[in-house]
Amino acid sequence: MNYIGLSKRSVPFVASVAALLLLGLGLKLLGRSPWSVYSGLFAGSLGSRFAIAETLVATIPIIFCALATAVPRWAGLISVGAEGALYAGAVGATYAALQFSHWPSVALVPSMLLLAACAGAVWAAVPALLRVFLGINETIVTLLGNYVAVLLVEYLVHGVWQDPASYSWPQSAAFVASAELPRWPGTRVHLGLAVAILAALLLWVLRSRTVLGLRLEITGSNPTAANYAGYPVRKYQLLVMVVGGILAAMAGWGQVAAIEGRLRSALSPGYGYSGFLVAWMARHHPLGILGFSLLLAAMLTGSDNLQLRQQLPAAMVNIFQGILLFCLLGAEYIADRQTTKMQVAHRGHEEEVPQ
Amino acid sequence: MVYQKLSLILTLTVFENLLLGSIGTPFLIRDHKRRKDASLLLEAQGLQVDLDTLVSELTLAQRQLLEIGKLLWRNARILILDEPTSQLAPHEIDEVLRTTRKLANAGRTVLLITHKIDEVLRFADSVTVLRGGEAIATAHARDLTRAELGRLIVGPLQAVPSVDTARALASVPVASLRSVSLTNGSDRTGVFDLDVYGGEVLGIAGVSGNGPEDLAQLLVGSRKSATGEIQFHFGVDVPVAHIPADSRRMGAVDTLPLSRNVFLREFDSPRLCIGPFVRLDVMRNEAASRLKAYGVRPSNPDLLAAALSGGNLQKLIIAREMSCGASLLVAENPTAGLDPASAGDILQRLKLFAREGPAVVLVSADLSELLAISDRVAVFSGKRLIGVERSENLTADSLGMMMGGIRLDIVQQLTNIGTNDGQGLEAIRRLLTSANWWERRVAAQAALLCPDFQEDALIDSLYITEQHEEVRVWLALLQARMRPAGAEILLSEHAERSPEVYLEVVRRLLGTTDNIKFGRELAYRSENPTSLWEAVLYRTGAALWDNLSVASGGRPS
Repeated sequence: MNYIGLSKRSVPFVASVAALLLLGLGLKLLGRSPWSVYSGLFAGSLGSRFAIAETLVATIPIIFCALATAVPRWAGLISVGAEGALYAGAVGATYAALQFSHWPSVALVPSMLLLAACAGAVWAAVPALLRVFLGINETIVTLLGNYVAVLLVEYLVHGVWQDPASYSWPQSAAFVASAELPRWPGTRVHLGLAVAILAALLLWVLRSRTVLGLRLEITGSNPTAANYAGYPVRKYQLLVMVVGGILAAMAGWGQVAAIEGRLRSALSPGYGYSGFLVAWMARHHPLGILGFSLLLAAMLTGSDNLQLRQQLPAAMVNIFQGILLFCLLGAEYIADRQTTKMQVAHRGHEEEVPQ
Repeated sequence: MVYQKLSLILTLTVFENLLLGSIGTPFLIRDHKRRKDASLLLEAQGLQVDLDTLVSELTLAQRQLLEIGKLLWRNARILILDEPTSQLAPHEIDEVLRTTRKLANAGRTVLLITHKIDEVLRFADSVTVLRGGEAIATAHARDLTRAELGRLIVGPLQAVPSVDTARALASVPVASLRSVSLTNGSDRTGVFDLDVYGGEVLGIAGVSGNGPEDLAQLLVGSRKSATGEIQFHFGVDVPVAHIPADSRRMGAVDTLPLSRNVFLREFDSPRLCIGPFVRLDVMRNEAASRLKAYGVRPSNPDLLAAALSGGNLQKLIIAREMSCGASLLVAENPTAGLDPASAGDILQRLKLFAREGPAVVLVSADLSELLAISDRVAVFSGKRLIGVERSENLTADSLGMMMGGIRLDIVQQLTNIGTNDGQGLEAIRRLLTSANWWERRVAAQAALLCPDFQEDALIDSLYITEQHEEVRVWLALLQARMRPAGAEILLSEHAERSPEVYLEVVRRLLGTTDNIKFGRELAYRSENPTSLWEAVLYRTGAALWDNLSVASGGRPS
């Protein structure tokens, strides 16, 4: 979203480097070698074929969730409901998998996708309608909805959908083989990756090249101006929220259909929130989201390795995410100030020159 | 320093705004001395509001005075006011500037930044003219005439070409308002019809809050009329072009490049689109040429709109609204806060735009601007349409009276009183018996100003039947003037029965709204009357004023 100078574009990179340096300093003070920690992080995330595959597996839901945060933001809405819609999507996909288990794969996989999308859309429509017609803050409603979604899934896996084969485990029955998604041979990387990348590319084109995308940009930047120009602002707000819900539901679909193979209440280690962070790091740009999702997924995967090999607490990655967020906000502030200065300079020089 | 955009916090009270950020404000504010000081200080500035009023409830003029009060609270010796009057109505302007004049008289330095020549000549001691970043001239205000000062400001280029004279209206209107109303209620008397014709500039005059804004909202569709309908005689997908009053907030997106702002309305025009896709390079090039054509500087389409000054942003909006193929353009105060050169340029463009066929509806608080470029002017008062007149039949004075709610034919007859052709006197006679108390009051006022009006019998009989208290006082004044001997009994009777109305009438006679000034004026006039009935009138008034002032703790309403 930057049209003058390079400083704003480079914000995420400067922030990432600064965060690595800061964390390294902290590790040094704790008596750890930052170098070995970082190399462990790298080895665990990108150091082997298996590690790369696992990183890609974690990238998929993060991409979806980040897109699900970015799209509402285009029209000026701040949704933190990706986590909830992810669970809603998982419920939708599970319903299809359990209900149509006798169908062949060609029919079952798309129907799971479709039902997951419907569930996500309905889930997101609730805060969207409340926002558009009653003016209720969408951020709070989506946040609270996340807890409801998890509770809903727990209700299902403890109740009607509980696997009769495993008495006490809160999980649904395992899906039939025809419900499984195609995979890259020998890894857990599944079809969802292609869908995620495709979705990001489509959204990028929509955002930057189409009438709807440009109008959404106006709506997000200044809703008053959008109203003035006669845009159907409410329709747009509904649309972006519902599309966001569908995108996050895709993450849930991928998790149950390809990774877990059944519905469980612990489907996501906070992918929705990681997606939120990624979306803001990428400044809600779909292509940026692809890159930053990979980065964050690599850190999550790498930190598993650190826990196993170097007895570092898992919280370290959370700490790193926090430092990264602060560096990002700080760098953005500095860049904003520079832009403002440049503009003031522009005004001063070019404005009131007599004809 | 008082900035053009005020820096008050609307959700806090007057007192809190005053204390906020000033040195010496303790963490907890409880002492009464501070409150007392604050209210004294504000009152001395002519700001008579309760300290606990929310700033959002103040008028713009009161906020401006509070800003000045904030500086005084900090004991500023030098006050810098940046365009303090750009958002104010004419009578508020005087209020604010009189206050600053008083401060200067009391020994403080006031730096008044303004582009309004009249304000400078009326209130400043010395003037420095800045143009293109250079100090062009410094002089005593009393040595300058309006024309000289205007020339200094505009510079050697006289870039205000004359506008061609009015031409015949098109036969078919562009938009027809049929029995619409600007009030929300079921007030049938406010219903009116209005046609807007292609090729004309229709000026809308009226004090802010009396209907002009509402009419603009009706036309652009952001508000529905409680009654009637608006017929637009052009296609449904043709937009109504609109230059909004708050252009920075409403008409543009600061954080997006100029190219996007230029094509805000037209992303889907066939020139730009292939299917749902927008050709960004075409948009950029067209935006660049359009910005140049309308003289927007800087004209680089990749710059953010935040980089434009108010005048250039306004030009951008005009460029956009004039190019979107509309048959009707609604402009709300398009020159507010702009320098004379930019304002002239914008008015010129509006006029030329209308000459090409579309209709322009110009809402403006600047009467001379309305009269200069409008073909017709519609005047609103109290949310009612008072009249639609061709602008060559109007003067700023008659327009001002119409804005006060008097129809033009009446205005003209009343202003003819001095010419002695009997028409004015006839008008007064007719109006005195009107069913509308408003018109009876105006007639009585006019009669009071007209020495030729000597109809004791008529006034006496009217005085007996008159029901409206205020009109009765005016009639009593007429009687008192004609028979000064009985003045004392007649006027003191009114002063006793309804002191508020009496004072209000005296206040109108003196033509002041300022309480402090009113009190002083009363005292002076009662000491120096020009006739017996005036002596009675003002002495009674002064006595009433003193009583009321004491009774209500020095602050009569």
